Amino acid sequence: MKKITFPVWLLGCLCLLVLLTGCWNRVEIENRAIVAALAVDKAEQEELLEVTAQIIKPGEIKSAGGGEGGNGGGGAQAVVVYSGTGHNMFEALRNIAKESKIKPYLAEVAVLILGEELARENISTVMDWMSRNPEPRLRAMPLVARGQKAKEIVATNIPTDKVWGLGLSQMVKDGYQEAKAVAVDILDYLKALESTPAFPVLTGLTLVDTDQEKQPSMEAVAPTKKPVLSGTAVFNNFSLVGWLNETQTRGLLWIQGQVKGGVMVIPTHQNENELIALEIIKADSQIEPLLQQGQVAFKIKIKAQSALGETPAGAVDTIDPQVLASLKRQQEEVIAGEIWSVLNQAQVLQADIFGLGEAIRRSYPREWPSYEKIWEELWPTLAIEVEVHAKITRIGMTGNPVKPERH
Amino acid sequence: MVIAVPEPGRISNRQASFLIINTILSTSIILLPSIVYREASQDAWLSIIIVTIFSIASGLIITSLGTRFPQKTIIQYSGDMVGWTLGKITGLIYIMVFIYANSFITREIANMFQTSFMSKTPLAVFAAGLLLTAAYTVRHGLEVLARVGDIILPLSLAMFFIIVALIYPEIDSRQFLPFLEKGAIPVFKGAYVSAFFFAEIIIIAMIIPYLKAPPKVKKNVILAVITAGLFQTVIMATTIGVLGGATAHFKYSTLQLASYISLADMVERVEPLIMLIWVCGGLIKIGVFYYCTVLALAQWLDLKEYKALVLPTGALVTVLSIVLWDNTSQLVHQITYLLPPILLAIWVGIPLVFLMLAWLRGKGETKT
Repeated sequence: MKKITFPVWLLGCLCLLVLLTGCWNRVEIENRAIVAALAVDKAEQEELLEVTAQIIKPGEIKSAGGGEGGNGGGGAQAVVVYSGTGHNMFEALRNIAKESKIKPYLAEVAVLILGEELARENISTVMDWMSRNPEPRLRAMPLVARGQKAKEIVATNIPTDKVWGLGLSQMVKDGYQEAKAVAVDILDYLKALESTPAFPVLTGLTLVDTDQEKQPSMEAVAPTKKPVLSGTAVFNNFSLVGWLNETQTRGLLWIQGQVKGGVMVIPTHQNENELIALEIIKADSQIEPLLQQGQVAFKIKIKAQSALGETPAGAVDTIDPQVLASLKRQQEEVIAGEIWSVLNQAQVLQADIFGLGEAIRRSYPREWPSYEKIWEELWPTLAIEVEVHAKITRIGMTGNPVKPERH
Repeated sequence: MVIAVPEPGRISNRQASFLIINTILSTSIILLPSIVYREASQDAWLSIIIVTIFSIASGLIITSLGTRFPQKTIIQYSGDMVGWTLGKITGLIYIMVFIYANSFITREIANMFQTSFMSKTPLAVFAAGLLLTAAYTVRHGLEVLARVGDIILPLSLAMFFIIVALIYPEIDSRQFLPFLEKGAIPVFKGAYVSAFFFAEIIIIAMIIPYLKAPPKVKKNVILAVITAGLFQTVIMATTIGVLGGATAHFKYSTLQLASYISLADMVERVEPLIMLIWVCGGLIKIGVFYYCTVLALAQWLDLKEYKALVLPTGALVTVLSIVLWDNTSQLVHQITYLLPPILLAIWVGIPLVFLMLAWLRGKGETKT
């Protein structure tokens, strides 16, 4: 092989320099329209979608915020909200670029909020677009704006968060940890669609009025509304069919074995007005389907462990095992009540949100196809048995509470 | 009679196993889960086990044949088996299939880049980039290719472990049930569509003469197939456990798997690791097929060297990889429904016929 001479070597190096200028599609961070939250509504004009994007201003995140990234608190808002309309998601998003000057970048979308009006009709195109497009991640959470336009929620400022789209996703995740909301992301939604019968659920959000006086820390633009978790939206395939309230949401989570924590307030057995707080430590569930002579029965077994969190003085003797046992029974009743509440609501909505059909399919794959055909008629006649086993495993740092007098 | 030896280098048998594992895994790991899931649903992992057993059998066929002619590649001994004319026709078929296979491997990789990461870059950039790099390796011969494989395989297997370990908490074991919901037929269908990924062990028929110990190659091939099958089964099972029924929705389900990783909100966005496996593993795979093509072509034409063929072949593959298919749906449809019988006939069927002929006529060296 010939020896490489210096000029050739130099020429080679110079050629390589050309490659160093960067990628083909590089975009500087200042020019990226990073979308933190998306909202999709029906537009006023027939048949059109209105997409609202909450776009992060990278420069603002770094400035005035005490160097705490997205949660700087106070100061200038780090996001700006743009809307666009179109026949579908794709067109509407590209129309946003008319205002924002740059094509929105979707890889960081944390929440996708769907207006209730749209959700009641059909969200299939939105979901297809979310999974077909390579940018959004399966971790993004679809939410439903309960009784209002999704745009309003995305445009409402959360004072504690600079990028409040991320705040919303955190709100849902925290709600899930407290058993107040289901944490369903795009993948969970797709998986629920694939199961038979397909009744996905999504967390609902709604705006409530805030009391402005109570927020002195806010500067000029104190918001008059704030988003809060608001139950669970029940879908039949791609269309919203109804809602679960907060109790029913926890009932659903009990059945799915997804209760991670949260506080239960239960009355003592002697006195309805004396309320005791229990913190759920962990919970587990099991759904056992039974097929007998064309009859479908389910046994739902729940196991829960909790800690005594708070008790009024003199209400219960927490050192007495018998008292704890009765508290335990009291708790079991409350849990069963929550479960029956959601079971009844599911009957009303005719929605198998628990995957009961799927449980039959898994245990009786041969028999399932014949039941699947008549599942809708079968649904109101299911025999369901709920069995709750609760345990109070911790009673805290004290024995009995401090009492003013003994009796 | 050995005519010309276009390849002076020798590689060890272990390196050959590495090349085989690399060749089978690097594309199948990304593409196979959703293709197999479409046929076999939650039993897809079983399909992979079946196809692994089948591949051990086909590996035995190819190596039994190869060890009878330890000095020759399949292009060379096909003439001994069926006469000059038929031998040349068989050789040509192999060369064409190698070129075709290489085109679709290149296209798969280029497509994935374009769809998932760099949507504005033309396919030609990826295809030409991959083939130029592979051409450089191939020109330096089999030894260099094998050494690159030595470096890259442990790396990509490590990436593979990282991904499976990180996504493990998301596995929902209920998604494996019901077992054999629709009977055994879908499982075999799933095995059938994945069979030709594993039939790529045919490359060993081109490499056997350049091994340090050709008679021991059987053991290496079987080990390689089992390793590849094991990894493929694990990734298949992980995909079923995490993506469940949604697996079939995604074209690159392993990529979705990696992008779904989120460990304590800290370890996220590890999908570039998948990209790494694809670039590195894919490069070796393209290199191996590229090498087989030019070597086969040189032997078919009775040339003393294959180096002159490297760039023209690369140019041909680059162009074919772009013009043969309009989109990935076409490509996936082709590899799922049209190709398996053809490729299996060529990659497993022909060696089987040759082996039987060799037995009947007592051609080649018998095993000692």
